[in-house]
Amino acid sequence: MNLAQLLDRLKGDEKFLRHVTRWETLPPTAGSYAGFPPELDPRLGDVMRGRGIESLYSHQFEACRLAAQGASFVVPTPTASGKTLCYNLPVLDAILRDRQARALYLFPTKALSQDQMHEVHEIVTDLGVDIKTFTFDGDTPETARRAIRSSGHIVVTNPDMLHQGILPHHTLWVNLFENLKYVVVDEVHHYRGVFGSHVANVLRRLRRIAGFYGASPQFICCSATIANPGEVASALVGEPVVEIEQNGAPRGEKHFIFYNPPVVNQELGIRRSVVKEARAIAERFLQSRTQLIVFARSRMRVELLLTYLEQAGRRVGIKQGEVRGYRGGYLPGERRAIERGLRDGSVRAVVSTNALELGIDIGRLDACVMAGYAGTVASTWQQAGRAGRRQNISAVVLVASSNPGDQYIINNPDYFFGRSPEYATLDADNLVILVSHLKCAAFELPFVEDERYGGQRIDEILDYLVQQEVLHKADGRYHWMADTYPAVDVSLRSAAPDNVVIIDRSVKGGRIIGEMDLFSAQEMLHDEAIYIHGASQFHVDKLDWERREAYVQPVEVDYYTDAQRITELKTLTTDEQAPATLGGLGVGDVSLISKVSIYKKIKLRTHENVGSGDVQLPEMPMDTIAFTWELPESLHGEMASRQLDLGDALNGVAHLMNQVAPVFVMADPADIHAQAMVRSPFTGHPTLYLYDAVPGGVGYARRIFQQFIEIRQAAAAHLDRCPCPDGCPSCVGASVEVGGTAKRGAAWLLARADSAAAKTAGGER
Amino acid sequence: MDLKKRLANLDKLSHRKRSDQRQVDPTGESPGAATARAREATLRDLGLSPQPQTAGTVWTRDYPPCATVSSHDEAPAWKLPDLTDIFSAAAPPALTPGQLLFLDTETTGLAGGTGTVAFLIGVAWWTDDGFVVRQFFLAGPGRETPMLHALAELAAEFRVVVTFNGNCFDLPLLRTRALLSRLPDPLRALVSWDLLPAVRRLWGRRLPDCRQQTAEVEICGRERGAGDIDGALIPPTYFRYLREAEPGLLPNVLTHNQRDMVGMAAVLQAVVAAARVIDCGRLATHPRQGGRATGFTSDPPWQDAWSAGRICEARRDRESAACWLERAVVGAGIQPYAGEPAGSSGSSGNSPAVELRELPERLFVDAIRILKRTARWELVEQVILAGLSRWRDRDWLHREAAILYEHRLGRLESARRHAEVLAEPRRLERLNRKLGRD
Repeated sequence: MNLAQLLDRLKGDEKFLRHVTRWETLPPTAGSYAGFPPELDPRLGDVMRGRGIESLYSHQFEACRLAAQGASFVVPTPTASGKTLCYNLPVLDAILRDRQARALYLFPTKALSQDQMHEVHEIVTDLGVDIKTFTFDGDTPETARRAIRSSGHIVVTNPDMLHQGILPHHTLWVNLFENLKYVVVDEVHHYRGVFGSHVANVLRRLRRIAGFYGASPQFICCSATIANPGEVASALVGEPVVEIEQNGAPRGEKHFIFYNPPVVNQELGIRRSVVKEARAIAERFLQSRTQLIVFARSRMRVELLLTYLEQAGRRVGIKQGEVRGYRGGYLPGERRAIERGLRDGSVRAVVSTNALELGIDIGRLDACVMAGYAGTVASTWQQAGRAGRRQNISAVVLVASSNPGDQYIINNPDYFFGRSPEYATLDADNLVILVSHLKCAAFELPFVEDERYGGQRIDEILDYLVQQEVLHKADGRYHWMADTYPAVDVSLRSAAPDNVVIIDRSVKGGRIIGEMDLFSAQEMLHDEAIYIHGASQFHVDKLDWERREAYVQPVEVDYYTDAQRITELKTLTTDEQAPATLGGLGVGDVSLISKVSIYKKIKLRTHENVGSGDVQLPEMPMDTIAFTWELPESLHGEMASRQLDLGDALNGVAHLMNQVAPVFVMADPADIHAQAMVRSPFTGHPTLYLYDAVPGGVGYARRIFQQFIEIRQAAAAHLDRCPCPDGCPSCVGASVEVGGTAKRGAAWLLARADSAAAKTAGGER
Repeated sequence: MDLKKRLANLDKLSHRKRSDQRQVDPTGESPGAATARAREATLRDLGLSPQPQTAGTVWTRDYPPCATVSSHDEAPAWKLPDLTDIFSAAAPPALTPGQLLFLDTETTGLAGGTGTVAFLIGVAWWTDDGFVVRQFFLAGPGRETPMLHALAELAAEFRVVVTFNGNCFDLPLLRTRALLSRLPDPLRALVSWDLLPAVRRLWGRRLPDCRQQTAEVEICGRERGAGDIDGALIPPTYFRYLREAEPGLLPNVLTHNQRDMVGMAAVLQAVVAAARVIDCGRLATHPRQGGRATGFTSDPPWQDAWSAGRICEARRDRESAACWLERAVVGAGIQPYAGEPAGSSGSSGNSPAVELRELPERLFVDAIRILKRTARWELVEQVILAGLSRWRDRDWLHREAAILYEHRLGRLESARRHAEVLAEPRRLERLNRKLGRD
């Protein structure tokens, strides 16, 4: 049985189809080709033809043309559409013309940069010229570093290394910076939220240092398909970036199947295990002898699924080594062997974490099963792109977990298959992040009075840093004057300037098992908390707030702890307002003061409250950006007459929005907080707040303000499709928490907003 | 919200409060014209004086020549011993002591990177009158250009720059500072002699650590005396001077820097003397002269003999290397264990030398390798057996023993005993065949 026959059989399988929420057949498309640009060094064309590439795809051609014009640009392309040539060709062309020219490649992960180096190497070998390509990361031996600094034409690294290892030592990299022609930023869609806001500042620093050496590099960016690749790339690199819109790569017929496992607990919205369901589906593909990739959300699930599939494989005569696992923690040599095996077909199936989602070359497979939603539409398409050869038919099955995000996607396929709805957001001017990087920048090069950074004046912040005694102003310059190396104190993945270190005291001498930002630490690492880490339980013996250390030890108990945070929210400014047919919308600064004062012990499985305790920790202030939806007071009466409660309904909508809004702004539900107030002391009305759970905000609330109608309608549709009776964690929250009428109330409220909108025909914005 | 207020709120989130944080003028102005005079007075109190240069004023202090580390026993015809593999850079031809420039910087931090500033550059050299020290002091950030100019001008008169850990710290730091001021490296024409690797190579096997002060005490027998400063206090002292024009511990920083320079001169002399001993050892033990570890002019501790052997080995002087290792082995008290321990239960009455327990395995590795090259088989056997009496289960020692007995000493029975421990069937098979057994 081949793949086409298997798909036919599935189409006739009633039991299977019952759980399919969408079977989308994407028709094949022909490629669009454009030859080689005449201005490209002919040696490159020869090498390409030698590798069987007779002509470039239109987007590759366009990339070469834009590069030659001196423009910075972004190429949004699906997986394996030849995007690497979009930067390798212009870069190699520049180096062939001028042997002094240099390029810097940035990839979000180390594994990926290793792989990319491999690919450039092959082209360079075919060219037969001496172009040196090096990876420079934490693993690079000290002995090799000098050669890389002075003679590497292409230096491949990641943002963390650029931030901590290269920029603060730029005088060792004179050759690179003086001759920096191109900066390649791949996987741009990864640089969003806090991480993106940091990386945008690292790139501001890079441009500043390049400027010191008289260079002004062009930026070449690549991105998965998102709604605003041009916008996010421009925000990231700090200059206008041209977006290449046409993709010229051909595609074979693809079947994309959404599969939602059956419900096993309605109140809690729990469905049958995604691992079991994915396993059953993957087994059918294995039997049909198609080459298969299975994506799992965690390393543990990879191992679990691998064990199942090995067993299943043996039953149909597939040998042990033909089914492989792939994840972080495997040795590089082992990974390379698996990649080779996938390319030459000797590996029939691979179970992977998202490690294989990125551009590592494994050729194209026939089928892809995703055990759980990848978190964003962009990542899901990247994973799906692993299946599908140019001519052949391919299949992708997305198996949803009980997770609210998964449930939203699986029940709203139009959202997924429509024009990309995901907006990547970042805010390079987030004050906390900006200040951190201004310190690093001042360390790298003194600031001159009136110098602009990221296009804006920063004297006031520099003066603040003088007060903080880290800068010293003399003769119109701000000099770094502290006995520290600021880059080591700034993690690109964290918004808060400070972290709590988690120390397992059961190990002799103590072992650091993790770090956590201050806000989360108050909720999860207070004295007596049960902290779950890597599926193990730890008891928090003590949280030493002054030292920023939490001492834990492993335990096995039958309860978990749930801390109650009381947040006092104060509106400071309203930057923008828009009338809505039902109430009004706004966005502006808010100040939050939150305090964790008690926690509850809750029994596992039964969710009974089995005890509680006090938490003694200081209040935490946070300034951030909030979106507000202010509703008319009259709703109280309107709802009461329908036996609905506005407070419950509002709480329900808050919970619902907290699930749906992150999907649109490419955030994690934890990145956004929602709060409902029946009477806000600031608006005087019932008000819903959605704010960035990051000090200073990174743009989520503003994006929600802009996309609100879309998000509200999506929330209503999602609520409508949720099969639970009175609320579950996937929609308005469990009914025991939000009240029995919350689901009906929320539905009514959203419908009311919609009908009001209909009445005045889109007057909401 | 107004930026000032948001910045003020940042404080509440930021790192643990520094204990010494003071309120500064809220306008955010650094101490400016008002304290310029105060700073100048402070500098004069420190014995510094302004020297007008083309690029601006440089604050310097010259110390009177000091005789304690005189070079006059070397001058005028300075005949240097072989310093290869002691310093990584060879001595320029016809070098005189007066062409060495000693250099040590005091900086705003030890982390390295472009934001670290050298605020005090100490230099010193030998004159006919003795050892003179000069210090350049950075009166304020942004005044580096004249200071670096002055250093470059001075450096032009010298051929070698002598530092302690300068290759990794002072020299790249000055190069970076110069680059940031868009100046060429002031020391680019000088050969660098870094004393830290030299101390490590010569005495690292003996000293508890290779810090400059340790070498001064243990090798040169010099004590620092009172008034020195803890290195961690140096950057804050300078920051305080910048903000408040207070001298604080600056006098101690200057003294510390001056003593470092004098100490370096003493360490260099010790390095040269040790290099000379190694040279003499080679001359006296030249194989064709028949001498064997007899002609040494001094009697160094076994660790130093070991180090000398390694240096000779790096110079491909096998014979001298072997002589030194023989010296080291004997000096360390390595004696053959009576009776052969391999395979036996090992509870015989003869216990190995007590000191053996403290010897590093590395010494045995080096000794066996170096002694084998000059075919000192009896000594090799002695070292192997001593090693086995301490580490019964080291495969590499059993392998050395098996090879030695089979191929060099022709004692097949002994070889077989070690081969048995190794569980290397091919070797065992061959030995059994040679011994006429199956």
